[in-house]
Amino acid sequence: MLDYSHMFTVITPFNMLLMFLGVFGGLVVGAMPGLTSTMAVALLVPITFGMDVNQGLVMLVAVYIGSISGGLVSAALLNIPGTPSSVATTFDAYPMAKRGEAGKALGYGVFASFLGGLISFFALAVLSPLLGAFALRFGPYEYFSLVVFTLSCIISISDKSLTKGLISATLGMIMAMVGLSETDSVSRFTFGIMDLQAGFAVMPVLIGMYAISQILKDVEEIKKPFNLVNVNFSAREFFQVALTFTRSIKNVLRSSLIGVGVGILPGVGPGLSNIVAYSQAKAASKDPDSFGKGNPDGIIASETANNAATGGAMIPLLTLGIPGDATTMMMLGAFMIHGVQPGPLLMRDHSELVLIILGAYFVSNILMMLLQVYFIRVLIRALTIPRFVLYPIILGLCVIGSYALNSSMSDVWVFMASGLIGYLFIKRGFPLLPLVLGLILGRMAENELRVSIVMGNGSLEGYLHRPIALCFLGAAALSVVYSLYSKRRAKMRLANLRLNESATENA
Amino acid sequence: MRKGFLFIVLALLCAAAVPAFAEGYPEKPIQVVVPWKPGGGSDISARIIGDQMKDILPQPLVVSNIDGAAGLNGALQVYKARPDGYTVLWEHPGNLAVAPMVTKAAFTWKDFEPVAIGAKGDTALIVRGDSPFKTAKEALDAIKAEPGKYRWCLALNAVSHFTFLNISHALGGLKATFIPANGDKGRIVSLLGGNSDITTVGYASVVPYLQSGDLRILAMVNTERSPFAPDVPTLKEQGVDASYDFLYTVFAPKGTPQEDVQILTGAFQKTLAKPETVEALKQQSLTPFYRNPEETRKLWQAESDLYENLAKENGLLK
Repeated sequence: MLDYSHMFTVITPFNMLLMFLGVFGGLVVGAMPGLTSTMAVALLVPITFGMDVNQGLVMLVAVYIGSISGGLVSAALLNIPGTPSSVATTFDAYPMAKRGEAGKALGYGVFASFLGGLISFFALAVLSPLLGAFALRFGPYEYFSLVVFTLSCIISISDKSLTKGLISATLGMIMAMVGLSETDSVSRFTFGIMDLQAGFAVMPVLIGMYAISQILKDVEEIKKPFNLVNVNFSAREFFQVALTFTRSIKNVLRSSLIGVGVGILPGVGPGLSNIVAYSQAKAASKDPDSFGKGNPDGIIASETANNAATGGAMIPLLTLGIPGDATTMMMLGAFMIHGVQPGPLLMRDHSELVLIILGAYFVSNILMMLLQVYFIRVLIRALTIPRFVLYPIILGLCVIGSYALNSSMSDVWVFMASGLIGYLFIKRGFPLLPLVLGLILGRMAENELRVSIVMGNGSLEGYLHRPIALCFLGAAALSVVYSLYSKRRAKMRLANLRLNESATENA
Repeated sequence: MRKGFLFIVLALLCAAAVPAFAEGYPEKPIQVVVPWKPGGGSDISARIIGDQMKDILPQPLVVSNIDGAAGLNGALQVYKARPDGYTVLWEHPGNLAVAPMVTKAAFTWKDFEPVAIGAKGDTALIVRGDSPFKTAKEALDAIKAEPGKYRWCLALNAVSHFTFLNISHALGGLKATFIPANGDKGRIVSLLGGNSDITTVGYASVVPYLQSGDLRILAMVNTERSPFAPDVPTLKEQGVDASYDFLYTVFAPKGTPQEDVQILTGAFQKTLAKPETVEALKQQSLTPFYRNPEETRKLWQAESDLYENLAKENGLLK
């Protein structure tokens, strides 16, 4: 059993400073349009190399929470989601801000973020140890099935075009095959280039895909300053807003559960949770038509869910060594840099680290709320830095980050090449996350499958005797069937609609 | 913008490549490339010795971890580095003698200049705590008696694979089901999860599990008894003529000036004689093991010959 009192060791003056800086930096980055929490963490990971493992993790958690929450500012004020996790926030917060109630819109968002974070903290503290005890039962069979299940989630991520999502994922999995195979150190697809023997490192691909492509996409309007609405936001106003939450308890609970539940599924994360929670809040509302016109419940649903998902995403990371989203993916890298192998044994061998993370998670959520209330005006300043000054600086930092990871120039080339691929992907409407997931999971899928085949003496029969593996494989099959079914139904409904329209025209 | 950016990158590259003069070596920090992630035996031994060397050399030893490709990525960086004595490699024969051989890499350990051996690590033969085997003899006899029944966890084409082949050779051929798992942690998890029956791992990483009773040590695979577990017999004592020592060795790129290599070798000799170094290594279950370049080469040659024979015998050389 975990000794929760160890959690409080996180409260030292230096750690508090790190968390303050982390949350603040995260808020600034998250608040900037086009800059994601993934990027905030990507920029920070190299900086934490020099710290000891506790401080590094504390700061990463703080930045993660800060940047997810920071997305609210530009979403509400500019109608630009600072992170994918605040896409749904724009639906109602911006109309409210436009009405002149910018402060109120931010207030709803900030307090919802805090509540979502708090509820997911309890999920993280209570569910993680339970899952941890279970974790040793994960062998090659279970891991492979879990990977298959995760890959099946890509289908629900790529809601626009399933084909494009699958192409992206396949490309990622092909990239994962390059280099020495994990199972037997045989070199593949290296074309005699020695530098490729190590394969494509995940981090440069990840940083390149997200950062370069985002910047290139925004270059088209580089000289346009951001359109800022004047804001009045006082602490008094915030507390008035917080009081009105008594009316939305159901919404907060539902959105938190969705956030934790979606966040816990590897590969889905906060990016999707806000949209799911928003649609559910709308469906449950007595007045669904007011959504999209400045309904507070819309802001509450989105912001509660995206912060709840941060805790959810950390559960598989801490108990299974499997990251829940691109950001926790990078936290995984940070663990490894510090010589900690996240996996089934993390909770047992490094429970002190897990507790430090829990403590940092709790404190960061409080800091996030306080900072947002008092420093929102400062955060807005970040948006006034001209983009042609901001972006070159960010690009430079990314190059340093890619290089520093393995002191390898080839990683920098990989970073740039994947940035260009990412840009092409965005231009052509291909989702980026499946590629990155494919790159990480592809290596794992292949290795675990091969090991499980070896264990079964060349047969796959072993899967039939593993209940956990069977559950995951069943869930994967169901999720594929259901996604395809609902997509087909949506298509048919659309076709019927057109048919009716043309029928009316003819009549 | 991209052009300007490339220019900056190139300028930085040139700045990094400014030639250093041999007079007064070392004039700047020496980069020690550890081709593994931080926190493993290689990394810890390099960091301890590098740290202890700071009052012996005027410039510090800086460890940089360049991992990937079963250790070949870091080796490649040193292979390609300027032979100016400012970039050296930290490796043990189980990897640098084996990996280039089985992956047909462009270089072998002979393409590096041996500087010194720094430390020695122990290898343990382990089973799960609830295993019926109490001694190495029992376990190996059982595996011999029922070919293919027992599952031996190892990293294919890496040192733990060759350790198995070595044991197998000494016993006139063993047949076990190979369960692939990388790294000491990977093999420990495989054993704990009941996915394999027996394996070899670095002794230092298995200590907590031996204490908790989850795992049991059957024998040491070292040439002689380990000072950290004096009660545990070696395989040799049990009549199995197979051994492996982790010899953490420093290599410079071929063509590094002999004077510089000598300075570095001397620094290692002095550092490893310091009681503080001995104590710091002991805490990580490592033994100081200084050998000069000539002795180093001989030891490596013996290891390398052994692996080549094992690889040929088992059809691993294509």
